[in-house]
Amino acid sequence: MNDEFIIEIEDLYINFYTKGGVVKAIDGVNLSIIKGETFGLVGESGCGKSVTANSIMGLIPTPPGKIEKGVIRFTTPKEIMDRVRSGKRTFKGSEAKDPKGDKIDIMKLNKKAIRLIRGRAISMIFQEPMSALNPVFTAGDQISEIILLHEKKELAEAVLKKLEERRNGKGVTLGYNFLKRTYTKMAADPDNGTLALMAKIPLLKSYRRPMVREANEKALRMLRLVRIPDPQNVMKSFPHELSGGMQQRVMIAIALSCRPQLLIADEPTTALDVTIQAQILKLIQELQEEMGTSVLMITHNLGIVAEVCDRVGVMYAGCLVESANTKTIFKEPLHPYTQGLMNSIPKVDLDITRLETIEGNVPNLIKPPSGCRFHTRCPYAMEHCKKEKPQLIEIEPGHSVACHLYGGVDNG
Amino acid sequence: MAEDKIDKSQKKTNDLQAPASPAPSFDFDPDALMRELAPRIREFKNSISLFRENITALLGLSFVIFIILLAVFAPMISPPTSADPMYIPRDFKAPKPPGADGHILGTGNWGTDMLYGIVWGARTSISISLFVVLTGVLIGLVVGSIAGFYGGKIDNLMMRITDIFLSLPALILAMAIASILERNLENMMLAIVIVWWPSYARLIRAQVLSIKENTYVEAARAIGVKKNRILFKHIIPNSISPLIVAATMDIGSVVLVAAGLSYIGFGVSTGSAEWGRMVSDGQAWFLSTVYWEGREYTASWVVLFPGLAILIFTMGFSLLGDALRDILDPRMRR
Amino acid sequence: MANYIIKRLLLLIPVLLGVSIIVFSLTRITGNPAAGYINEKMTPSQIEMVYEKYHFNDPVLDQYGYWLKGIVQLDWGWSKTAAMPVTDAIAYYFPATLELTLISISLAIFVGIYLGIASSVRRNKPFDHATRVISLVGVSLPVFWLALILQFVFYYYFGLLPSGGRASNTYYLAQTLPDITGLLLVDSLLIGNLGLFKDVLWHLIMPAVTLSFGTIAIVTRIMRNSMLEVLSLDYIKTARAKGLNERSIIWKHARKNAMIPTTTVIGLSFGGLLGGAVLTESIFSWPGLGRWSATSIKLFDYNSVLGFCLMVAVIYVVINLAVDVMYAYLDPRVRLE
Repeated sequence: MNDEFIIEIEDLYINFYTKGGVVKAIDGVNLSIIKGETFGLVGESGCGKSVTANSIMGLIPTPPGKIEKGVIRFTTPKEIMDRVRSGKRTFKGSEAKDPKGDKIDIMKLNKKAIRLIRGRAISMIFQEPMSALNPVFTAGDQISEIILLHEKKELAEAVLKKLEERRNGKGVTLGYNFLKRTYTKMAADPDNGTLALMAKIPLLKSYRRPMVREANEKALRMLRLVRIPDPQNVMKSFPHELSGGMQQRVMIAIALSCRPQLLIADEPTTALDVTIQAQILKLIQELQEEMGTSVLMITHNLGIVAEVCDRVGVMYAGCLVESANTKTIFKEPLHPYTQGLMNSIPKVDLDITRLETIEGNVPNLIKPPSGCRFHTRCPYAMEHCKKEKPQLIEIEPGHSVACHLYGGVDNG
Repeated sequence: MAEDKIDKSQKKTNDLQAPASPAPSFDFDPDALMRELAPRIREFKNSISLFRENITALLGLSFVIFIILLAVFAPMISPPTSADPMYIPRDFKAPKPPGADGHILGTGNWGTDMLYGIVWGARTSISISLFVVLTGVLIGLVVGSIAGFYGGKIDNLMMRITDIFLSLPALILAMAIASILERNLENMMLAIVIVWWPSYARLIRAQVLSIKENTYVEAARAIGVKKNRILFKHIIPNSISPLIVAATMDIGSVVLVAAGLSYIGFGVSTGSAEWGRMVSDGQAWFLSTVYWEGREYTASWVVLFPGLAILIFTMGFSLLGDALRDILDPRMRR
Repeated sequence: MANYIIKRLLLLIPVLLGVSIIVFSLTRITGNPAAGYINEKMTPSQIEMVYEKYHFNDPVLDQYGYWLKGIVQLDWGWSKTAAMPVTDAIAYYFPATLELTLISISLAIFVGIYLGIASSVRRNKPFDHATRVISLVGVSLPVFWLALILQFVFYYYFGLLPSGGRASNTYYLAQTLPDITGLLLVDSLLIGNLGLFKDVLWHLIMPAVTLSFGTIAIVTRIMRNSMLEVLSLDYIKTARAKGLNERSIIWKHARKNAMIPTTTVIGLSFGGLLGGAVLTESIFSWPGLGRWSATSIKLFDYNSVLGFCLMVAVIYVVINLAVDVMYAYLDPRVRLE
C-alpha cells in the first residue's frame, strides 16, 4: 500500500426501516479511494451507489435510515482537523474522543462537526442540476453562500488587506476602525459568537457587506473557472434561466469553490445531452487535475467509466462485488455480474445482433437472497452460494472480488 | 368508486392503443377473471385499510355518523309539539341550566329546549348543506364541463362570469343577495348556491382541460367516437373525484356560512331549530345570571351547545374530505 | 412590471362592471329602490320629485347608466343607518376596520407561517399533532361563536380583557380620542399618550385573535404542507451538502420556496377575513364597516349593504392583484406579462 487513501469505507451496513419492512440497502461495503484518483462506482439503479455516497456526506436521513455498522475514515486537512478538535462535543458517544493522526471517522462526528467537512472537504454534485439548484436564489448567491459559510477566514483577510490599501491610498475610510476591529476578530476566529449575533441585528449586520462583496468576487472567479461564458450575467441569473449544461457548471462551481479534497459526482451527466455530457466530464477532469481533488464518480454508464475513471467498484444489491483498475475490469472481469455488465455493452466491432442481458431482476432488498445476493441470477451459482456470503478478497494486487468461484470455496 | 372508473377507461384506451393484442377470449375462465380483478380488489382493500389506519378519518366519519343519527332519529329523541318541527317547544321563561326540569341541555331564550334545537338543527344543517352543495355541483358540472370541453368563446364568457362571482368574498356576496330577498330559509340557501357554484365550475373546467389532453381521450377521438360521448364517457367520470373531495369538505363550510348568515339575521326566524340562529338568540342571555331552584347559574349553555354542534359538523366533514382525498388520489399516497 | 400592473388594472374594469351589474340588479329586484329616500311625512309631490331626481321612472338600462355614473362620481346613495351619505359612512367607518384587519392579517401571516414551519420540522411529533388539531378546529369554528367563547373566558371569567369597543369608555366620554390617521394605535403614539396606546392594544387583542383565527389555521396548514413538499426536494439536499445548518436550510432555503403557494392562499383568505369582520365587529362593538353593514341588514338599509359589498369587492380585487405582483417577486420563474 504505497498509495495514500483519501477515504476508506470499512464494513458499512445501512438499513432503511420502512413500513413494508427493513430494506437492507448496504450490506458490508468495503472500498477506498486513493488521493487524486477518479474512482467509478457502477451498478444498476437501486444497488446502493447513491446511499454509499450519501453516507460519506453524512446525509443518510435518519429515520428511516440507520447506519448499523461501519467506519468511514476520511483523511482530513489539518485546518479542518483543528476546528473539529477545538469544537465541544464533536464526537458521538464515548469512543474515539481523540482522532489519531489526520484520519477522522465521519460516522462518529456529530451534526455540527460534520458540517465543517460537508461542502468544504467533501462536496457533491447531483444528477438533475435543475432540481438541485434552489429556484429562488441567483446562481451567484448560491455560489457565494458556500464561500461565506466555509471561508470566512480567507474572506476576512482579503477584506482587511483591501481596507489597508484603501486607507493608504485615500486617507480616511468610513467606519475604518469598526471594520478593522470586526474583521480582525473574524480572521482570528471565524466561529465567533458575537459576530454571528451581529449579523442578525439590523444596521449592525451591514458590517458583512465588504465580505459579501469579496465572496461575490470569488464566485465570479469560480464561474470563470468552470468556463462559463459571460459570468457577470450568469451571476445574476436564476437557475431556470440557464441551460442544463450551464446549471451543472454552476453546481460544479458550488461544489469546488472551497477546493474540496473529495468530490462526489452522483450521475452528473445522466440528465444532460450527449454533447454536453462530454464537456461536463472533461471539465470535471480538468478541474480535478488543477485542484488535486479526488473524485467518486457514481454512474451506471460504463462508457463514462472507461473514459474518466482510474479505478472502478462494481456494486450489486448493496454489496461491492468487484473492484479493480479500469483497464483490468474491462479486460478481465472476474465476478459473473461484472461479466454480465460487460457483455451488455453494445459492441460495434462484433457482429452480434442481439444485445446480451443479465437474466432476472434486481432482488427485493427487504428479503434479499441468502448467501451471495447474486446467486439468483448467476449462471455459475453453486449450492454453496446460497448459504454463505462471499468476502471481498484480493485476487491480485489492486483487484478484489467477492465470489465463491475465486478461492473462497475451499475455505468455506 | 371513482377509482374503478379511472381503471376502466384507462383499460379501454390500452385496448385501443394496442390493436395487435390477442383478441379477448369469451370462454369464462374464473382464474383469468380473478387475475384481472386482483389489482382492483387489492386497491380496494388498500383503500379500506388506509382509511382504518387513519385515526383522523375515523374520527371524522364518527362525527358525521353522529350528526346523521341525530337527524334521522330527531322525532324519537325530541318529538315535535307543533305542526312546524322547526318551531322549538318553549315555556317563555328564563333559561334553565342543563338537566333542569327534564331539559338535558337546558333551555335558551324564551325557554326553548336546547336539546330539541340541536337535534332538529342537525336536520336543518344537513338539508341546507346538501341542497347547496348538490345544486352547486350540478351547475358547476354543467358550466365547467361545457367551458372546458368546448373552449373558445363559451369558455371565455363563462369564466369571466365566474371571475365576477369569485371576486367577492362568499359571505359578503351571500349577504348582499340575501339582504334583498325575503328573509327565509329557502332564500338563504338560494343566496349561498349563487355564490357557491362558480368554484365548482372552475374546478371541473381545470380537470376537463387536463384530462382532455390525455392519450386515451386522443385515442377515442382518433377512432371517431362522438364528442358528446367522449365528454360523458371519458372526461366527466375521470374528473369527478376532486369534485367529490371538494364537495365533501364544502358540506361543512356551507354550514359555517349559513350559520353566519343566520347569526346576522338572514334565514330562519328567531326561535327556530337552526344552530346559527340559536347562538344569536342565546346571545341575549349569554353570561347573564339566571336562577334555578335557588341557585345561581351563568348562562353559557345557551351559546355553547349550538356552537359545538356547528364545530362537530364542520370538523367531521372536513376530516372526511381529507381522508377521501387521500383515498381517491393515489398520487397523494406515500 | 408597471405594464403588467396597468394591464391587470384594465382587466379589473370588466370584473368590477360585472360586480356593479350584480349589485345594481340586486337594488332593482327589491320592489322599490326609492324606498330609501322616502318617508311617510312626504307629500306625493315630494315623492314624485324623489322619483324624478333619482331617475326611477326611466327605462332600466338608463337607470343603470345613471346609477353607474353615480357610483363613479362617488354618489352611492344615502345610508339610513349612519344618517349620512354611503360614501361618507364608508370613509367614517373605514379606519376602524382597516386597523382591525391589518392587525389580524399580520397576526395570521406571522403566526401561521411560524406554526406551519415549526410543525413541518417536527413532523408527526406532539407539536405537529397539536398544531394540526388547532388548525382543523380553526377552519371549523364559527367566528361569532369563537368571539363569544373568548369573551366568556377572557372578559367574564378571567377579567383580563375588555369585552368590546376600540377604547375604554372614559376616553369616549371625555372625547379625548385623537383623530389624525383614524388608526387609534398610531394616533395614540402620535399624541404621545401611552396609556391610551395600551388601552387600545388591549381592546384590539380579542377581536384580532377572533378574526385571524381561521386565517391562521389556513395559513398554517398550507405552509406546513408546502414546507413538507419543499423539504423533500433536491435543492434542500444540495443545501445540506453545502454544510449549511438546519436553521438556514429551513428558514432560508425552504421557507422562501414554501412561501410561494402560501402567498396565494393568504390573498384568497383575505376574503374570508373581510366576511368575518362583519361578525366579529358586531360582537365586539367595533365601530367599523362590518358592524355598520350588519346593522344596516337588520334595518333593511340596502344602500348601505350594497355600498359595503361594492367596497369590499374593490378591496378584495386590489389585494389579489397585489398578491399576484408579490408572487412574481417571490418566484423568479413567474414572469409578469
